[in-house]
Parts: sequence; structure tokens; C-alpha cells
Amino acid sequence: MTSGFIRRAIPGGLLCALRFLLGLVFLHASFGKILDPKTFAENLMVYQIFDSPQLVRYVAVTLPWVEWFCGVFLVLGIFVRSTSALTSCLLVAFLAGMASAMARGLEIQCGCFGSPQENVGPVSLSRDTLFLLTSLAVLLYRPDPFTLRSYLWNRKAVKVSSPAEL
Amino acid sequence: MKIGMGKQHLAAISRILMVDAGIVLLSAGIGIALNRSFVARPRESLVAYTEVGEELNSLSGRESKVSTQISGHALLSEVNRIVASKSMELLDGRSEKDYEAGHIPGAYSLSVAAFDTLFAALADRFPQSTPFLIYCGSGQCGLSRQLAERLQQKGYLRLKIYLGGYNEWFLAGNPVEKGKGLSFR
Repeated sequence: MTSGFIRRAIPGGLLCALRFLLGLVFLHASFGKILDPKTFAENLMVYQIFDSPQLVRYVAVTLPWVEWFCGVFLVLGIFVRSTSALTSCLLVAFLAGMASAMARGLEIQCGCFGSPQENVGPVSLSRDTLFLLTSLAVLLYRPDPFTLRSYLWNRKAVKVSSPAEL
Repeated sequence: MKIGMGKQHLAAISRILMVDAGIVLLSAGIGIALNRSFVARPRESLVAYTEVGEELNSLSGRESKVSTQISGHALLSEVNRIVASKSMELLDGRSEKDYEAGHIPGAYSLSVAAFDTLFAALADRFPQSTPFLIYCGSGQCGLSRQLAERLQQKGYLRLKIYLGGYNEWFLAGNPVEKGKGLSFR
């Protein structure tokens, strides 16, 4: 029902663009963290969510690659529903982390894109909320026809149907 | 019909979960494989824990006979305890201007640039057996390491460096003091 509403409300082409943009955002966010996990770990530490430094280190080396895979899959259009479910969960977690930091009065750097320049605040919260809405739209909408998956499926279908056509 | 739809949904959710678990496991595998040394034990400061003597040698890029005598490392939680119990004297190696803008409560300002002028006052006040916790801005600033080296050369050996520094202390929401504070002038 929700899916039907979104399908009516948002054109397929626009959703394809949103999926592509969301993928690029995740790819962009992953690069700095992949290249510098130590700084990302420090950014995670200042949120004061993790008690164990070991856990922080595992999260710091794993999360950027999760973002990278999500980005690649969304851009290419593979596993779109699974990937958008994962990005939605990640964005909810990011939002919860930032909201909790703000509620505790921490003036900390976001570390969202690996860059230490941006502080956690209304701007980062609004931006991630926008990304979450995009991700949910991609999740709830039936995958658009411009994905690599549908391209491969169509090619396969043409190959199978060719002998019969002859 | 409804039962059939339920099964379909369940199968779809299972597929989503399986793919997501695959992505997470693959990411963890790649991330850990590429950063084995960091995951096992970070070479440089992850906020504040590093074996300081070893780092002093490697980061200063030259051999130092005394640097290996610096022992221990300070985590933020440990620094909290030290500040609360006053079990060590805190030294802020940043410039006096930075110190006045904000410093860890109870810390003395001992700028590396003014070390030679201020050291006599420090030596009058604190014997060589005094334990010091030294910090600067962060693990990257290097002033705490320079200050530790200078103090070692003067015979102060009970030194710890807080690599997270003032930035970490401040960003973690800990109390800070502003103004002139404690100085050797």
C-alpha cells in the first residue's frame, strides 16, 4: 500500500536519479574513512557511544566498506531493495547517534564524510533525514527499470526468446 | 491467499536480510584484512593510547636515548581519574594564548617555546620524582612529545603523554578552565 502510494507520488525516473544520487553520497562518504580509519575511529570515539576501543576499531574498519558496497550497489542497481534497507538502517543509526550527542550537549565533529570540518548540528541532522527519506523511497518503490539487474535480465530474456522467434 | 502473501513477504525479507548480512560480513572481512595492525593494536594514537616511548622514537624521526624511559599511556578515562584525584601534575605544552583560551582544569602552562625561561621555576616547585601528565592539542600536534623530551633531558622521568590532548578532552564534554590559570611565570 505504501509502495503503491510512493509509486504514484514519485515518477520512476526521479526515483532512479535519487537511487543514483544516494549511491554517490555513500560512495563519497566511504572514501575518506577507508583511507583513514584512525581518524574515523577518533570521530566515533567522541560520540561516547562505544565503551570498548576494540569495538570502535572494528566498526571503524567495517563501516566504511559497508558504505562503499552500498554506494556501488545503488549506483549500479544491484540488490537495490536489500541495499536500500541497509542504508536506511545505517541512516537511522547515524541520526540516533547525532541526536543523542546533541541531547547530551556534546559539541563534536560529525565525521560523516571523513572530513573533520563539520560539527554535529541541525544541518547534519536535516541532511541525514533527507537521505533517510530518499533511502526509504528507494526501498519501498519497486526497483526502476534502469538498474544493471534489469538490463541483465532483459538481455537474458532476449537470448532465451530468440530461437522461438526464429 | 493471505497466507501465500505472508510467505512471499517472509521470503522477500529473508532475501534482504541474507544479502545485507553478506554485505556486512564481506565489508568486515575486507576492512579487517586491510587494517590488521590497526585492528589488533593501533600503532599511533587512537585518541590516547599508545606506548609513548616507542612512538617518540618513531615520530620524532631520530633516536633518543631517553625517550624509551617515558612509560605508560593515558586514556581519557584515566585522565579523568588523574584530574579528579590530582595524582599527577598536568602540563599544557601549547602556546600561552591557546592555554588561556581553554585548558584542562588544574593544568600548568608550560609552552615548549618558553621552556628554557620557565624551567627554573618548574624545577623550584617540583622535584624530579614528580609524575607529570603532558598534553597539547591532539595526537598530531607533537608539542607534548617535544615537552616530554625536554623534561627527560632535565631528569624528569615519571612522564605520561595524553595523546588525545585538549581537543579530545573538550570534545568529550569535560569541564575546561579559561584564562591565565597556573603558570611558571
